[in-house]
Amino acid sequence: MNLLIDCSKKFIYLGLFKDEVLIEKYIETDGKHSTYLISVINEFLLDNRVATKQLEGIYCGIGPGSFTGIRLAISVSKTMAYILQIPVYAVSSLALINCLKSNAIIIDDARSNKYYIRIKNQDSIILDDTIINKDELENYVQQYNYLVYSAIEEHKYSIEPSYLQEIAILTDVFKLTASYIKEL
Amino acid sequence: MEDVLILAIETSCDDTSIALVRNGKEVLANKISSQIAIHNQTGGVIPEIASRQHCDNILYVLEEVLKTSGTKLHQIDAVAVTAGPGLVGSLLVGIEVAKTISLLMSKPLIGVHHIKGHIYANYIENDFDFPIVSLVVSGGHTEIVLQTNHYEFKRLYSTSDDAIGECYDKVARILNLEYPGGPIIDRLAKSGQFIEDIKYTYTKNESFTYSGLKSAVINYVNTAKMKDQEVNAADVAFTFQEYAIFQLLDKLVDAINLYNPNQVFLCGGVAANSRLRELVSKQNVAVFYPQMQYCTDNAVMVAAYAYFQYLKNDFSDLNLNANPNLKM
Repeated sequence: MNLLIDCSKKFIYLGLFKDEVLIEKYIETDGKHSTYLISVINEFLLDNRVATKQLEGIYCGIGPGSFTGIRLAISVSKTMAYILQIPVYAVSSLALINCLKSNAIIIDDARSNKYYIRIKNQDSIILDDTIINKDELENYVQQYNYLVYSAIEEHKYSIEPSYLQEIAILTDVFKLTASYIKEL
Repeated sequence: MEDVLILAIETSCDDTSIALVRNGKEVLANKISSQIAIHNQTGGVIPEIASRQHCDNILYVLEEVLKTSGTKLHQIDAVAVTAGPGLVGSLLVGIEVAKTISLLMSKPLIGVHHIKGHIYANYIENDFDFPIVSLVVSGGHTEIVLQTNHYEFKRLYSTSDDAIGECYDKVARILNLEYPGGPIIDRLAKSGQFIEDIKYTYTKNESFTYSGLKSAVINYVNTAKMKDQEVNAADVAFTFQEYAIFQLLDKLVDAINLYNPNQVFLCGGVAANSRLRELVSKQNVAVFYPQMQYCTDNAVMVAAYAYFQYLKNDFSDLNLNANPNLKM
């Protein structure tokens, strides 16, 4: 069983998957991800009768998104993987919005009239996570005639475990780090 | 009594520190990953950068602590972590790691108050003899605390604006000196002389105040620069330090006279200040301060106070959150 943790958005997302079976949970915390993250992971595992010892891998949403949220997911993911001595995988939080083998332009609000963007087709990632302004976004939408999936309007993820595993990057547990994208 | 082994994490500001301490005194391992080189470039701590560094460094520090002490996580009796006060983004990294350890290893979690930690840095080498008056002076704190036992803390004085250490950093910055400002200003002050033109009058009131002194020094330096006059850094350092330390001593003496403590503790990074130590040692009271490595932020002090919380079953649940303004 594998555990997926993402705290980059207004909800905490937790997923448990094995092969093509995925169990998901979205938790609204009213801006208090840090308070509840560990408790909700504990409940989620208990509810699904998964002992931590049964976990085979941790998948962590490393951003872009809320800086604090990203760090929560990373701190917890790497500590879990370190203690359980299991592999940890880094996953783009942007990719989770449409984590399927299909064509898509994925965007999220980066504030100050900027957008995080990721473009992919069925075979490959065309544009890896980056930050752009509104004009550039319009150009991309014209250039690629793909459906646009926006985290600004859609507050759910679409995840296919096989595709998730395809794009996730196996990472040295000590080196798991955030993808902030945005400069300070 | 059985031994109590505590793993403690401290990430309230810019140092990532983890320690393993037995019975609040015996240090099995103590590692600190310092960010001084990074924050030297900006003359102070930028919270977002500090948080990012904690997140990148913390697991390395944990691994080193466990490896060098030959300890396995299942051997610890509890995991302690600074819950506040401090920078919220920095605190959170330590707290999430501590909570994860608590959950996975089924060990009690202890949220520790940072100032209590600073006071208990003294416990490593001294037994406590109450009542105790502690002067806690650092980059984030300027407080005098009274204790009549291990569990009751009364804050007698705090600062109404800047912390004294922060003020040292800002004065160092305007003199183009390195961060942190405390040690270098202390050193320079030894060869300095009093500057009458730094216009500052200390008015005694209920709180410490450092913004007026800071402005007086900045005004003096800026005016001199404008007039193309040379600024003697040693003289500025001396004058600033005399005013800064005088304020501490004034209130500390008041507290000593009022509460007649058996021990006085100097705690926090500014406790290393030579002028402060010199002046406090002239008071007719037993004065103690921790080794230098336990004056600045460190996880050993967190483990030291966590030991007393452990004895009282003062544990936190998994919903422990960072509280930047945590009350004592």
